[in-house]
Amino acid sequence: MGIFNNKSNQSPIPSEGEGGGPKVHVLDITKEHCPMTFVKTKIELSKLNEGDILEVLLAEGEPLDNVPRNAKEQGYNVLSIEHVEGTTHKVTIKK
Amino acid sequence: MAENKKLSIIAFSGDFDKLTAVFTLGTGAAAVGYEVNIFFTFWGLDAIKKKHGRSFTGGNWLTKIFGFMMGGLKVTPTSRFNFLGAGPKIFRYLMKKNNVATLEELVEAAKVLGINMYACEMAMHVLGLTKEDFIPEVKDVLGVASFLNLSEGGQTLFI
Repeated sequence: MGIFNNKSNQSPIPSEGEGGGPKVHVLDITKEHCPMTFVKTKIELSKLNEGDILEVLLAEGEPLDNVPRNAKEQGYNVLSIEHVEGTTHKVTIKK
Repeated sequence: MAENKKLSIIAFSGDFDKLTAVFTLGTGAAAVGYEVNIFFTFWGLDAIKKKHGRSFTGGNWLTKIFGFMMGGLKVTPTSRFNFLGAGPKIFRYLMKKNNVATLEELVEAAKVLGINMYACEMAMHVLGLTKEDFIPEVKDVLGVASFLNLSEGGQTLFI
């Protein structure tokens, strides 16, 4: 169905890293709530190639506490957690 | 570690709100690495019917009438505040307005996440339903013994 193929909250074309490195994908879940915050992250990560990067924009509280922890638990590499603005944070995950 | 985690849910209720709980727990657990099994029985079978509205599923006139009255996912009533069918529409509106996943979105997520869905053989027999009445994601038709076997070693919920 549409909600998991809809690219409206993702970067339309993944940007190539410098020197043809890993592709960087962006997923915005700032407006999502449990369980879709980590459901969408999980589905997006499953679509990525090994070595690709996913930048997840999320709100503080439950998503910020759980998305990086779940990614780590499932064997992904959480590269950074940065504050963007207001209540929005960016979690960078490498597959 | 994640590979040992397992959640099995017996989805008995065909109520909109209780099915929302089934799929919220199921998709959430699957997304954090749990193996998830959902065993649909009796009213819960409404959630996995191919036809989301009302249709005369069933073998004889009596089960066909039951099939029509029970309907599918789109016509599930709320356990409280149903208001002759207006309740689920109001909840769907409130959920969309507040960016909370609707029941239909949760079911789609369950399919994408590969949640194991099973139908109860006995209830299907009573209601005159066949595996062809269900969405293709329903993996198998099971009885109690098989379900107990599948759920062994994990957590089990009855909703």
